[in-house]
Amino acid sequence: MTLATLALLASLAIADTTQPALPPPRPEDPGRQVITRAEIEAAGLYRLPDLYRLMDGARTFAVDGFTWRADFGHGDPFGAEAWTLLVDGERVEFGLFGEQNLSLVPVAITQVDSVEVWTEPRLVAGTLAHGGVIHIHTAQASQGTAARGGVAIGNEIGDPGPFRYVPELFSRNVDKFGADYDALVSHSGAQSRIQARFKLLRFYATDFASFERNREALGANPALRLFAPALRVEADALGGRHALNVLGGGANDLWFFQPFGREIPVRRVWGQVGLHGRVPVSPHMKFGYRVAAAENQLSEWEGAALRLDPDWTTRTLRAGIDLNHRIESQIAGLGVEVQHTTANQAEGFTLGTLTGHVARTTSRYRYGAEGALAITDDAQAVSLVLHGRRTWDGWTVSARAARTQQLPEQAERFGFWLRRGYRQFARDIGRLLRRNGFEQREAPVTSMQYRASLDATGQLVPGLVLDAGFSVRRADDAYAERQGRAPDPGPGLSYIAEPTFLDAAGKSTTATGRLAIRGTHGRWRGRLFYDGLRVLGGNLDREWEAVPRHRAGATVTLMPDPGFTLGGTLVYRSASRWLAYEPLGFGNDFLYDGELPAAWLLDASLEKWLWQRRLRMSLLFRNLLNHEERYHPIGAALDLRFYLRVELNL
Amino acid sequence: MLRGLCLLLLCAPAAAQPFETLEIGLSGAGTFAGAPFADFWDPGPGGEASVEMPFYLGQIRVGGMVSWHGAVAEFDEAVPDFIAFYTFAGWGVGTALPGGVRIAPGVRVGILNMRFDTDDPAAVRSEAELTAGFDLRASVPVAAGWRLTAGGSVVRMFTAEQIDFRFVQVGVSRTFRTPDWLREFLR
Repeated sequence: MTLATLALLASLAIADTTQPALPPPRPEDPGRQVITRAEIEAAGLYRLPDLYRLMDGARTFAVDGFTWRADFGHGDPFGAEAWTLLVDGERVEFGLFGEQNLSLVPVAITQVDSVEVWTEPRLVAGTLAHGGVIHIHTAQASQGTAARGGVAIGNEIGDPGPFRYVPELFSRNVDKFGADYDALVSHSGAQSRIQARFKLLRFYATDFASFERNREALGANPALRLFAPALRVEADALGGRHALNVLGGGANDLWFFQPFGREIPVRRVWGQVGLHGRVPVSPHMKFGYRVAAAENQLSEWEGAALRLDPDWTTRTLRAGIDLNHRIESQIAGLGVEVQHTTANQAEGFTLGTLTGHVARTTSRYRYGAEGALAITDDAQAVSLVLHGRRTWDGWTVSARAARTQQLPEQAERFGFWLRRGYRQFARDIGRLLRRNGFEQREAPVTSMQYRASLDATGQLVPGLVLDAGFSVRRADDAYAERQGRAPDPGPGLSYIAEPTFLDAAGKSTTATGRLAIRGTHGRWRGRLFYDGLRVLGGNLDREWEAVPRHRAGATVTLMPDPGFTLGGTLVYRSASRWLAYEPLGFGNDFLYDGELPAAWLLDASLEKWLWQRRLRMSLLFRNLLNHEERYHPIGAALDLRFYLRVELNL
Repeated sequence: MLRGLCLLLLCAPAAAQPFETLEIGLSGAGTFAGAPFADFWDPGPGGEASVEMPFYLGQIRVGGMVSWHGAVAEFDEAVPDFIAFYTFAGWGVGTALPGGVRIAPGVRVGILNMRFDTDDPAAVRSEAELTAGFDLRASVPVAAGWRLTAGGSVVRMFTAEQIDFRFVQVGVSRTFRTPDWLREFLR
């Protein structure tokens, strides 16, 4: 390992000389993080969930190294993604029992133009986003027609190589990524824009930790395949802009289902058609509208040995309007939205949401309030966010205080649908739950969160910028899936040895802090960062143990030429414990416990543009130090791996 | 030695304009490996083709080598022969010495693709593995634009049971001015 590490470090250590056109530091609202395409390219990101690596405060886990889950310190640790996802302004309804799998979104990493991230609640696209917002903007030709397409592959070290033919030195092949394909075609005219895109991903989950388990469930070697297409049409009419988004995705997936504590083979299909727009109705007033229809299906992976047919389909229809009024520095708006969701095996619901906001902006201040009232047949939830921002002498400080209530209908967790009649996994469930089951002590109820945050950004000295943030959050009556004690070691499909509690009385108080210093010097760009998490109280201590408390690191980017970039990232992630898995064994000759070690992870990337920026090649090495990189007790250990991408831009 | 090599890489003088010249090399190559690999296979001679160009600093070099690895007699029936296609990209910094001699230490990464001589299905008849290591090349001018080259590489293949290869190359190279169209393409 030393040889490779030294070789690559030496190749990164090229001396500085002159200018470069590095992307500028992010201009901003301190509570908003903007990830630019240049940053994505410099980091050599391979797939969409890799974006989490660039998001401040994101803590991630993956069982297979393909599907990544993220937590930003919200009330239900690693239980569900609380944030709201937007793609080109369209709110995307692709969650499954609260889980949002970024891999399934029909955007390839090369199709991303920028990403905005807010980790605090805010009003967006007709709803109050309780857990913040991730907004992905895709690339669009500025004028005329543009196309881009790419192919990418990746591989982890540790294959048998020639020793596959030598019994005493034989080992199994390890994880292989791709070949992945993606393409995007866009056309921009004077009054309209159109874009079509797709991505096709493949993944071979062969890690020792999961291979036997999943092969037994599948009856074949585990190989995942995901296809996700999208179409976007945008037109200027009636003095405003209107966008139609058609999004979809389908995958054969080894879905890690938290209440079972393991993967189950499923087929996932989702699709959404949405139309939104905004037109002026007077010099000071704009009218906005949005309608969407979405369908989510979860079904059996055809041919799988473990026949767990979830037979689950939800359909959502949503329509909303809003009016926004602006006079000089004052902005005010009101909106209303109605959502109707039906399910094939459970009682549906209708949810109405009223939203409103006021704000005032001056050259130094911005302050205001946002509120939402969510109503169902038998419950209401009121949320209020106060925010203020002040700018002076190159510094910006923002503060937010929020009291948010979330109805179970807004979270759509597993326990919620069980209560409404979901019969769950019709076949073979007895094989998986021989000695356990679900125990739902009470129905999910309206959860409450109180949050306060303070963020600041400013220039320390020319070329050096400080970003800092601090947030305290208290959650009451949060829904949480609390797994019982460890499974028994044993063959095959036996699993969690005690019931999984679907608990609606989760309480937690957490504090998170972040500090980053970033700067540019000539052709160098660098960033030092630290994210910390502290659990101050509540009854979810066991669950919070699974979330690493500390994350720190440094990134360095060197751009010797506008067409050539070298990048390096060193990240420290503290240890964590998944108590429900401690100790356990899975009948696959590998025994793990719930302890995940701390890790130092070194990545290096190289990017070269050719043919006057028409052709791009990137090479990414992850975990160059080859430390034990594991994110889940029953998950894969991600050894040193490399990814190669070739992208054509026309 | 490693420290010296790194120092040489980092302290070397600046190179010419990126992609200004193109040095095409052809070499005979020998492969050496230790146990346990050498207990089962006997690497045969091979050939290497490479292209070297000035980079933003130093030179980059991309190339490929092909060589035959026959099973040693003792295991002739047990393990298959294989042909190895080794593609690599390297970076190094050349230092000029008296008499036109040039010495260039460098680093390289590559993929070693092994195609086994078996009746297995095509999909499983080959393995491709990541390699990384160091190399050292020396060359002397022998005629206008022509150089005699010699070099050696130490490369580790990151299989579960890691394999260290040593490659030795001797050959000739010819330097051209890079055609404008190619220089434009590379920039």
